[in-house]
Amino acid sequence: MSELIKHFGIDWKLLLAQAVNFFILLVILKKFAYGPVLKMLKKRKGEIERGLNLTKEAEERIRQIGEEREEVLKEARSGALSLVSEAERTAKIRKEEIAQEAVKKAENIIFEAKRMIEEEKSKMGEEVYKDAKELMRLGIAKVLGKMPSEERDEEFIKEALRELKTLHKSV
Amino acid sequence: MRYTTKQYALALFAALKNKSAADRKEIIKRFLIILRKNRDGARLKLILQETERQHLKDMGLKKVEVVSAGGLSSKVKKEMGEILGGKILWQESVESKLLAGLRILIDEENLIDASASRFLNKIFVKS
Repeated sequence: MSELIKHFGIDWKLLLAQAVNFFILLVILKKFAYGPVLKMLKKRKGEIERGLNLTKEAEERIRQIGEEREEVLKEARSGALSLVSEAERTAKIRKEEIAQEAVKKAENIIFEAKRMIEEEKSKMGEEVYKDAKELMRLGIAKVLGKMPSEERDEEFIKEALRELKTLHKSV
Repeated sequence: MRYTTKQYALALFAALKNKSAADRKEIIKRFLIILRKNRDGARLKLILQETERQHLKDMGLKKVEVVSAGGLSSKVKKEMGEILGGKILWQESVESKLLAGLRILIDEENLIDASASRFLNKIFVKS
C-alpha cells in the first residue's frame, strides 16, 4: 500500500491541506454561491409550479367554458327549435282562423246577397202590385167617367143621403 | 194668458153683433191690433171661420157645402134640405176628381164623403 502511495507520489500533508482548502471552498461556495443559487432555483421552481398550476387551471377553465358554451349552444338550438315549432303552430292556427274568417265572410256576403235579392224581388212584386192597382184604379175611373152622370152618381147619392139621415138623427 | 180660437171668435162675434158698418170696421181694426199684440195673427183664418159659424148659428142657419162630381140636382138638394130641416146656406161646387158621388160638409164640422174617389181609395189602400 505504502509502495503504491509512493508510486503515485501522494503527499499526505499536501492532500490534507488540499482537503482543508476544499472544505473551506465548499463552505464558502455553499454560503455565497450554491445557497443563493439553490434558493433562486427553488424560487423559480415554485414560480414554474405556480405557473403550471395556473396553466392547468386555465386549461380547466377553458374546458369548462367550452362545455358551458356547448351547453348554451345546445340550449339555444333547442330554444330555436321550440321557437320555430311554436311559430309554425301559431301560423297554422292563424291560417285556420283566416280560412274560417274567409268562409264566414263569404257566407255573410252570400247571405246578404240573398237577402238583397229577396228584398228586390219583394220590392219588384210590390211595385208590380202597385202598378196593377193603379191601372185598375185608372180603369175604374175611366169607366166611371164614361157613364152617364145620373146613373153613375145614383148609388153614391143614396149612400150620402143615408149617412146624412144617420148623422142628423144622432145630432 | 192665451185665448183659444173659439174665445176669440165669440168675442169678435159679440162685439160685431148689432153694430153699424162703420163701427164694425173700427172693431175689426182693433181686433186685428189685439191679435198682432198677442202674436195670434196666424190663427186669423180659423177665428174668422169660427166667427162665421157663430153668426150662422145665431141666425138659425146651417151651412152646407156640397162638392159633387157632376153637379147637384134640385131633387137631391131638396131631399137633403128635408133631412136637415131649417134654413140652409148652400155652397155648391163641382170637382171632377171625385169621379162620382158627392162630399157634404155641414157647419164645417161634419163631413160625409160619398164619392167614388174615396171608395176607390178605401179599396186600394186597404188591399
